[in-house]
Amino acid sequence: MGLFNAINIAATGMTAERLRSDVIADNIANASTTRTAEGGPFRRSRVVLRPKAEQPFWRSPFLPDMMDGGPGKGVRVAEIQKDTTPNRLVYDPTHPDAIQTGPRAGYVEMPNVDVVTEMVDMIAASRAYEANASIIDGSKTMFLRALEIGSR
Amino acid sequence: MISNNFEKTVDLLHRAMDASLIRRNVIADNMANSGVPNFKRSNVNFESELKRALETEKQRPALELTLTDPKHIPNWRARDYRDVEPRRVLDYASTSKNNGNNVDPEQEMMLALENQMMYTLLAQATTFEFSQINMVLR
Repeated sequence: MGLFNAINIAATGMTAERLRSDVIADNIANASTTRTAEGGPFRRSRVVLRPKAEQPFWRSPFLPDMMDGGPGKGVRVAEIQKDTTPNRLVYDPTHPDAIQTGPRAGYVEMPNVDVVTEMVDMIAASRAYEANASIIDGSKTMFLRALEIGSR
Repeated sequence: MISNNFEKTVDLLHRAMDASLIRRNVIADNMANSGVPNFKRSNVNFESELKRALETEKQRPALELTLTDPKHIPNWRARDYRDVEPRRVLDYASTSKNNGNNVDPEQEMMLALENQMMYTLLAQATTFEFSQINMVLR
């Protein structure tokens, strides 16, 4: 019962971090996409994570047993959110998507993707992925150790 | 009541290993949620309470009341260690990041390693207990 639960919990963490790095890769790949199916430039998206078992809402360390949802079930992806920060404006009148009229004529709306932020997020995601993987690895060692009890 | 010491030892080891598994689950959950805003980490509380329960068995008062009727109230009662359950405790007071999440990955990894070594030790002690029984049986 218990040990496989730990592996399942760490696996939810690995799934979430993998999705995060997938989304980051998509953001970086589209860092200069100025035309999308929805119209306008690409908008960066981000992953919103939530605990799978909701935490108790009152602030006390002592939970009644009936309210305690157990040691937790891991993490889940609540939504993939579009970032609504304003787009970058780059002056390039020869660009096919350049704004033709108005005070911003000659500027091109570029995606609101900051490659540096994405790289930092990617490192965070990959480190968290590794941490979860090492939890699984340790649980495996523990399980093998438990199997040795009857063998000698 | 368990009179045989071997059974009590194995039972204690068994309980400690169960608590260790629950602690592993809690640490895995803390690790998985290390990036979630407003998540608060949990702890498992077991060993200190077990120690307290085991100590009540030794602390017999100098003057014990004689009970001649089942309705009499004793002035001393040993706490049965089998009633001690591992409890999950929410660490809600501390804050270590700006987003309200208080999971410290380094500390969690350290706890995970410590817990894993403790589990290994307990499993080895159990193996040793059974190997001694084997020695007698041979």
